[in-house]
Amino acid sequence: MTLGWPQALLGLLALALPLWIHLRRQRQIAQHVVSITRYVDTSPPPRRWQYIIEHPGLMVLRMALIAAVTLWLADLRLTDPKGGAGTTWTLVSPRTHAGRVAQLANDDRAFWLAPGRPRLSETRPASGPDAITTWDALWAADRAAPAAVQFVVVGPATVAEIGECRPVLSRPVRWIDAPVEPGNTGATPALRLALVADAARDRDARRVLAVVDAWRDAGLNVALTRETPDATPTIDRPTIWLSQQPVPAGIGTSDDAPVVITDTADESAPVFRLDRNGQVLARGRIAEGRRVLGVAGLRDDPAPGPLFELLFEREAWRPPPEAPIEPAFLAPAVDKTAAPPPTRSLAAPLVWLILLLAAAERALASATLTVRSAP
Amino acid sequence: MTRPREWTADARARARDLHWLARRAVRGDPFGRHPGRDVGPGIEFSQYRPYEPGDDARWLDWQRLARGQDPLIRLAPREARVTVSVVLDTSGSMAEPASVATPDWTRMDCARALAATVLAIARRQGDAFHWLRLDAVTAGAALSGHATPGHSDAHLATCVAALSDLVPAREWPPVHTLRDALQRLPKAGLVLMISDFIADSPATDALAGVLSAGRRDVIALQILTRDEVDFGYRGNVEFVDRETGERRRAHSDAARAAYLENLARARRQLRRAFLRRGAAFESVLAEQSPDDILRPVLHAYQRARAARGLE
Repeated sequence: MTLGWPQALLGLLALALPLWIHLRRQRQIAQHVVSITRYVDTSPPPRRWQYIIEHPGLMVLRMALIAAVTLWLADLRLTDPKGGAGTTWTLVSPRTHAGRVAQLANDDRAFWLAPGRPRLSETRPASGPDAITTWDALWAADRAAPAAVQFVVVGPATVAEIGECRPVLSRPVRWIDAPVEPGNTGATPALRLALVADAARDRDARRVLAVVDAWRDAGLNVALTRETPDATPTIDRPTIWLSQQPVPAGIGTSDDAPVVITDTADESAPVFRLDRNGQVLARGRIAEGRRVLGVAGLRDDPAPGPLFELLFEREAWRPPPEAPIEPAFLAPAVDKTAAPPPTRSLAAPLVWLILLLAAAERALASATLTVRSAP
Repeated sequence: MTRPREWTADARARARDLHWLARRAVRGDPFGRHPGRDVGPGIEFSQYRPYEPGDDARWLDWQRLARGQDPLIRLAPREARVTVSVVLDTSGSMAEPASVATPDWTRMDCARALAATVLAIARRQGDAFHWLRLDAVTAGAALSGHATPGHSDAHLATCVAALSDLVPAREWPPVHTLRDALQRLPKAGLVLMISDFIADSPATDALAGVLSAGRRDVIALQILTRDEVDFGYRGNVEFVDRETGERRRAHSDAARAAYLENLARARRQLRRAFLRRGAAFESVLAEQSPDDILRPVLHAYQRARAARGLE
């Protein structure tokens, strides 16, 4: 919470409470039965409405107490703009070649670009479709590092290294290209599908879309385009045909042509037969087209399942090889205000201060009230 | 013996070494501890007088007689007993609490403890003692047992018991009533007047005059509370007079300076009124214990005695 929030403003407004209490008590008239009336001069008359603070010390103490509580609730933090000056963090992508990693092993300020920022001497974090992207990890490191720490990123300068959104960091990043570790391309095989459905089958089309969403949730890179049967273009990808119109000639009629997945009874078209559990049985006709295709059917382990082979292993559908790009392109944008530097919480000192002020306030208030209660 | 609750055994023990001797030679019963105006045969030489038939031979100056000079009798000052009178202001203002921290301890409680302590000192010195109350209601009343001088332990018990029953009355007595009441004091002796002396200047001046008349040694003790001395009031205050019911409103900050000046002026006038008549005057705080109050007062009194050559 910052002091600009309504809660903080209300807390600041609470500072007026002691002021009001003391001014109110100032306006009250205390009656004392005494013997020294003859020595009391009644001119000037009692001041009823002048704003004179009564017990200013106690009032200041109370305001300080409220201010301390407000700052404690606002989670006051200390920043250090000069923190980490002269320090460089070397952030290594998990996809970096082991040889390059070994060269950096002696650097005690080298970290894996992964959640938690483990040291380079620790186990290499996982990389792949489920892993956090380099830019996301870089953004997290930028949030955690002291303000003056310099970043050097060591990793493959490829598109796969970056995420969908280029981050804006609070410091410049020097990117050093490094070879990729074999077998750790991190590329996700792309499944590109086409859906052909007419209006009468819209309900089934929505089921297919749900299936695709389920695949995406499971980490598969699926791209789905929807076509209409009236103007079917050249379909160069596996096609889900949900239409009463016959499958056009040339689609799914040869091994090199795109596969058509349909629930029509057209025996001439190659289709997949799925059982009730979503398992691919063989080419043929979809018996239960309305069922959600299970993701497990696409990810058979250790050997890929029939559907996986059909959909992913064909050369034409494999994703393009990773294209090297300029490291400078990978460097995030810099905006010093984008990420506030890490701060140190003042909660503990504030709690002690609050306790101290509360004790002092009670002691002073007791003494003051004792004086006021004179008969 | 019924005692004032404030006159504790501890307070009595701490006051055991106090004594109060007259500042000037007094004429009184012999065998006391005060310097007497009479002389007679004695060890401490004062003067000679010619031997007269019938004089005790023990007081002859035998050395002079051995040198063939005329027989002379050695004379020494004769110590006397006096009457110690305690006059207590019992007007309503004496009910003022001594301090905020001790609301049950009033100016009257302090006065009672002081009076009991002085009466005990007088008893220990062998003096006659009694006490009188001074307020508008009882000034002209008949004398009670405690108001008649006596010497005995039984009389001390009577006086102290009467002190414990003392309740502050309403107002300070008018001057003529005050004069009538103080006519009952012995013409000579020691008088301790205990009051807050918060009254009109003519009244206190008349009181000082009546008390110091004759050959009395007078100590006037003004008992004030902490709030009265410091004006420990805050904010807008309505003061209600304890005796007259008069109401005055003031703001403490605005009224403090004038109040302190008025109080200081009144105390200066009061001090002058007593000192002019040869009496001692001291202001004390009601929250103090009797021996803390009496010790410096009586020591100052004894220093004045020494200055007169009476030690």
